[in-house]
Amino acid sequence: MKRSATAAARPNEVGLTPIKRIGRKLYESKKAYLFLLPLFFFLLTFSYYPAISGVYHSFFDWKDTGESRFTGIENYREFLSDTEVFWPSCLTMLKLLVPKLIINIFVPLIVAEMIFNLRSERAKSSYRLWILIPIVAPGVVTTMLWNYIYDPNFGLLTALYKFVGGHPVDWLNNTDTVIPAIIFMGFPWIGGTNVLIYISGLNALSPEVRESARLDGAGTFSIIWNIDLPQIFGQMRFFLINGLITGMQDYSVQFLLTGGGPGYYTMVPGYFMYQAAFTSGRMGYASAIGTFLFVLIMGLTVLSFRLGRKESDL
Amino acid sequence: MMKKKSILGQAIDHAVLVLLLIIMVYPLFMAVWCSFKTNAQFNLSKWYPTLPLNFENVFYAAEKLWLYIVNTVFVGGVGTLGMLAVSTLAAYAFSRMKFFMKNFLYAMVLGLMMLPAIMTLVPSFMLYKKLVGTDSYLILIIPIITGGSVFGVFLLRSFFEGITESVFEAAKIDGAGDWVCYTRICLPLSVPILATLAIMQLSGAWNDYIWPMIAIPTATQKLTIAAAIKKEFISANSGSYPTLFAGYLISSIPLILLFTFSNRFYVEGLTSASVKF
Repeated sequence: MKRSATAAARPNEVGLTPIKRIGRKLYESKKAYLFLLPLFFFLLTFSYYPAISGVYHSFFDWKDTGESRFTGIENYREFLSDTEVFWPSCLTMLKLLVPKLIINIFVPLIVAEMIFNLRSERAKSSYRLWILIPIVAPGVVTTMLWNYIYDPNFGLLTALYKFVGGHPVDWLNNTDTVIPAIIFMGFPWIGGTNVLIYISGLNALSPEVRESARLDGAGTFSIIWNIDLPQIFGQMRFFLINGLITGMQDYSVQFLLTGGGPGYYTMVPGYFMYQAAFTSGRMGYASAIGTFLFVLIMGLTVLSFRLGRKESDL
Repeated sequence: MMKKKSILGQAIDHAVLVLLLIIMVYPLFMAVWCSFKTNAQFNLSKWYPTLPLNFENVFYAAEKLWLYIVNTVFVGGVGTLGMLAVSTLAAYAFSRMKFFMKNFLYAMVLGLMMLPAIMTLVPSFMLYKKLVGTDSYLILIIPIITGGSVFGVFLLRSFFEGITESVFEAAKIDGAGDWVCYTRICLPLSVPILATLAIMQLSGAWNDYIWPMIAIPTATQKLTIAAAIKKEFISANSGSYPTLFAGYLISSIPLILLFTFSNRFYVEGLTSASVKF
C-alpha cells in the first residue's frame, strides 16, 4: 500500500531496480535514522551483541581473561548431567517461585479489595499512601532487615518464638526452615505498588455497574467474583508473567544472605550461573547456563501468555 | 439490621488493614529508632523508641556513606539524562516520522523487553570489560542508558502519538522542521512523563547492587550506595546492629526525599510497568 503511494507520487521511480529503490528509500529516511542513531548504537552494541555473544560463547571454554577454545556442546552436557547441584537447584527455584507467585498475585488482591470497599475516601487515600512506605528503603536494606528479623540471637522472629516457648532457631542456616523462611520474607507481602496497580484496575470500571449489581441484591463477594475479577484479569496476568520472568532470574537472597547454603539447599540456577562466572571465572560455562535459562524463561512466558489469552477470550 | 452489619464489616475491614500495615512497617520503624540507640540501649530495649537519642551511629554512617551517595546520584543522574535523550529522540522518530522499515526497527526495540537480564549478564560483563574497563564510571552509566531506553521508547512513543495533530500542523505552517517540533513541542509537553521515567530509572540505579559489585571489583570508592552497603558497610560493622540500622537509614534518606517531593511521579513510575499488558 505504502509502496504504491510513493510510486504514484514519483513516477520516475518506476523503472528503478529493487536495490536502487531500497537505496532511495533508505536515503529518503535519513533524517529519521539520524533520530534513531543513538538508540540503535546503544541497543546493538550493548544489548544485541552480548546476547549473540553469549549464545556463541556457550560453545566455548571462555575464560574471564577473554581467551576461548571451542568445545562444542561440552558446557551444556556438563550442567545438564549435573544431578548434584544443577537439577536440585531448578527444583529449589520452583519451591521458592510457586508459593511466591501465588502470594504476590492473591495477597495484594485481597488487600486491594479491602481498601477499595471502604466507604471513606480519606481512609482509602491514606491507606494507599501508607502501603508505599516500604519502597523508600532500597532492596538491599529490606533484605538485610529480614536478615535481622531471622537473627538467632537478637532477631524479631526469634524473640516472638521464644515468647511462645520455642528454642532459638537459626532460621536461615537450618535445612528445615530456610526455604519457608525465604518464602515468608516480606510478610505481609503487601508493601509497594502491587496493591495500587490492582486498585487502579478496580477504579477503571464505572461505579454504576457495581451499584446496579448491589441494587439487584448482589453481595460483596458475589460482586468481587463476578465483576471485579474479570475486570482486573489483565493485572493478574501481568503479575503472573512478570513474577515468572523475575522470579526465575532472581538470586538476591542467595547473593545477600544464604550464599546458596546451607550446603546447596537454597541454590538456584541464577546463582549457580553467577558463581560459575564470577567465582570460578568460567564465562563459557556460565553463558551456556544463561542461554538455557533464556530458553526456559521464553518458553514459560509464551506459554503463560497463551493461557492468559485463552481465559480472557472466554 | 443491614446497616448495622455493614458498619461492623467496615470496622473489621479497617482493623485488619491497620493491623497488616503495622506489621508491614514495624521492622522499618524499628530500624529507624534503633539507629538512635547505643549498643547498650539496643540490648536493653529494642522494641520501642527510647530517650536519650544517640546521634553517634547516624553521624558515623553518614560519614562512611556520603561518598557512595554522591556516586549514585552522579551515575544515576548522567545515566538517566542519557536515557531520556536517547529515548525521546527515537520515540519522536517512531511516532511522528515516516520512514523505511519502521515496523521492523520498532519490533527490534520491543523484542528486547523479552530478553532476560540474566542471559546477558556474563557476556555483557565481558564486553564492558573490553570496551570501557572495569572500575570505571562508564561501566555503571552505559547499562542505565541501554536498559532504560527500551521501556522509555515504548512509553514515550504512545505519549507522543497522543499529542494532537493540529499543534504540529500549525508549527509546520510556520516553517518548523522535525528538530523544532521535537524540542519545542514534544519535549515541553512530556515533562510529567519524563519525570516519571527519570524517577523510575533513578530508583533503579539506587537499588542495584549486583552489577556494581561485579563491575567495580577493586576501586571501591566508585561503588554505588546499595553495593557499598553490602560490600563495605555490612562487613565493617557486622557486630553492631544499631550502626547497621543507621547505615540503612542514611542510604534511604535520598529516596525518602525523592518520594516526598515527587510522590505522584514516583507512584506512576513504579506502576507504569504494568501498562505493557
